[in-house]
Amino acid sequence: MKRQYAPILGCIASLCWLAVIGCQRADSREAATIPASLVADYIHKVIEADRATYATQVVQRLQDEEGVITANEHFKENKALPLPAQMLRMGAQRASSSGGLRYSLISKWAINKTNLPRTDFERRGLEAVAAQPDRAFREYQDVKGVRYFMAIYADKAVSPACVKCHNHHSESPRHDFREGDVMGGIIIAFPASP
Amino acid sequence: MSWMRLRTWVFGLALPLLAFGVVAFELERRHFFVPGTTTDGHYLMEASCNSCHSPFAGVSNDRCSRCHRAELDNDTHPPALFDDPRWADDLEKLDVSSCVTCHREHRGPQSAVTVARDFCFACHSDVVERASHRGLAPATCGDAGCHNYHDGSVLRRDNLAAHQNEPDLLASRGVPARAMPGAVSSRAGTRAPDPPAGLAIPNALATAWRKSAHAVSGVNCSSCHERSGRLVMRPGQELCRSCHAFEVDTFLAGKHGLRTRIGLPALRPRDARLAMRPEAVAGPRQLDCAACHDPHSVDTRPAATEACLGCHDDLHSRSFAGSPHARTAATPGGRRPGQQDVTCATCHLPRLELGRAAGHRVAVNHNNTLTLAPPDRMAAMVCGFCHGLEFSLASLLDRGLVENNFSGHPKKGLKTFAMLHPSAAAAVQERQR
Repeated sequence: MKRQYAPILGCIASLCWLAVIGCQRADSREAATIPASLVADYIHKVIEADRATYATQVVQRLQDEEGVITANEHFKENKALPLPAQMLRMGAQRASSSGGLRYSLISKWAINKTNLPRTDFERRGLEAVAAQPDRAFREYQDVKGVRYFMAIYADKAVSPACVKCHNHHSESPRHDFREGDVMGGIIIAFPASP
Repeated sequence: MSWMRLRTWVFGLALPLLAFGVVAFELERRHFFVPGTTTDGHYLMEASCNSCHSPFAGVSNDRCSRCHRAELDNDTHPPALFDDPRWADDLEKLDVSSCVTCHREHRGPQSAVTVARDFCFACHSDVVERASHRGLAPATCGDAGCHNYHDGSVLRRDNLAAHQNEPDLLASRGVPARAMPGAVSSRAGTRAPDPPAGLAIPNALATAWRKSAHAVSGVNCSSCHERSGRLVMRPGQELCRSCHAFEVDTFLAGKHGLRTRIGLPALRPRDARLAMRPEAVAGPRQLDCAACHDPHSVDTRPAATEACLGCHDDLHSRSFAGSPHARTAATPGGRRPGQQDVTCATCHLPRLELGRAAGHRVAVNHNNTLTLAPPDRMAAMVCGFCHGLEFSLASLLDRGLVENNFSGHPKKGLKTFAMLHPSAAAAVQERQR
């Protein structure tokens, strides 16, 4: 009886072994084929797409074209839309609540002083993306014993609403932005190892 | 030490101490374990260690936000903001990602902020380089109504500018008109009390009820005093909550209801640190809905002032009767306090317009602690219905005026407005003269 089942059991064991080996190879192939810079690029694409869509299809359309509702930095008190920068910041806080990924807006001409560059990497990154807006500035950085992959991408004025707000805001240190100008950068950071 | 001697020590001293500790803990005598004087804010809940402390894990931000979430709705320095490597160097100087860095407990009754007063300078030392702030001392950021670490919505520059040069007393003033929760019942107007079997009601009680809002809205004797055919002599606040959810929930969020919410015995006047009237301390009163509201007459006028002054006996409370605010409420203006009547409740239980989900109704926030501090919250939520912002802030920052219940004018103007615009500076100088 036992001999009768031996080949079947052998086949099942072999299949299991092959499955385990296959999964391990798939894992190692996945880890080996997605570099941190590409991960950051993908994340940036999502952030940039959401931000541009919100700026043009929500703020620009409802505030500047159809006059339905205004966007205002004190959106709760004024029952208004959040500004695109605030949307990004709220999303970033939500995304970072479970740890790992961090992203934020930074600029030499930040209206919210929280968004001024704070580290040497950020200052160098902003200079680099201002000079070459289509190229991200990337580096590994060790912060308090943790190795992070960090990347800074150029943040451009994607709609007239961006330009209008930054040029007219009393806290803005620069008032001559034009559509398409680099206004600052989006910094993305995540731990280099999980 | 010999084994016999050690055993004597263990059984003679350590075990009785351990037994005392266990018994004290279990019998809710936990103040024996409090390591120092608790702040006024947390004093009433100090017997509930677990409300703040997690075993072997200290005090987490999550525990703080269980009670303080509403106050931190507009937090400009949320801990989540600093959970980012770009803030690592700043956090080395002052770890503002943790509430307890600045708010250490058991350090004294008034010690809400326990770091040095110049703590802002750990990150904002560049501020004094600005022309507008040159020469200001690092410890003065929070003085004179200038900055609020957690919520800058009132003191931000454009809001101050919008309220600049407002008169002390606004031409158009008054709190929003309050609406009753719920719809008027189809049984309204019948006005025949329907006491459950076995409940005899005195005539005076029936008369009071007939004129009440409860009678108008169809809330009869059986609505509160009968459950599944059984008589309920003293319905609790859970029953009130079935119609007045916002009011009860906000009551439980303030000091008056806090102990009930966390499972401690309800607050009694004798538990308070503030001066209370001797008869209130000696009496059996416990803080629940019925402590201030007579559910039969449902007249909010006694609840708005008399109920408060029936217990509170501090200088501010005792000064109310002779204050200009009391005079506004002295004129009869209907059964309930009118929009321009200023009572204790006007300032300490502010009226709020609830959102669309609540039918845009104006309700009374029963969290009696909400507007106590910081002063800019009281100024915005309450005083601004009748007074200019500068006058409101200057009055709230004048200790003497708070004690005499605002009988007079603030002695000092606000530098905040003076820094805003030269015309405001001139007004401040005029007031000081």
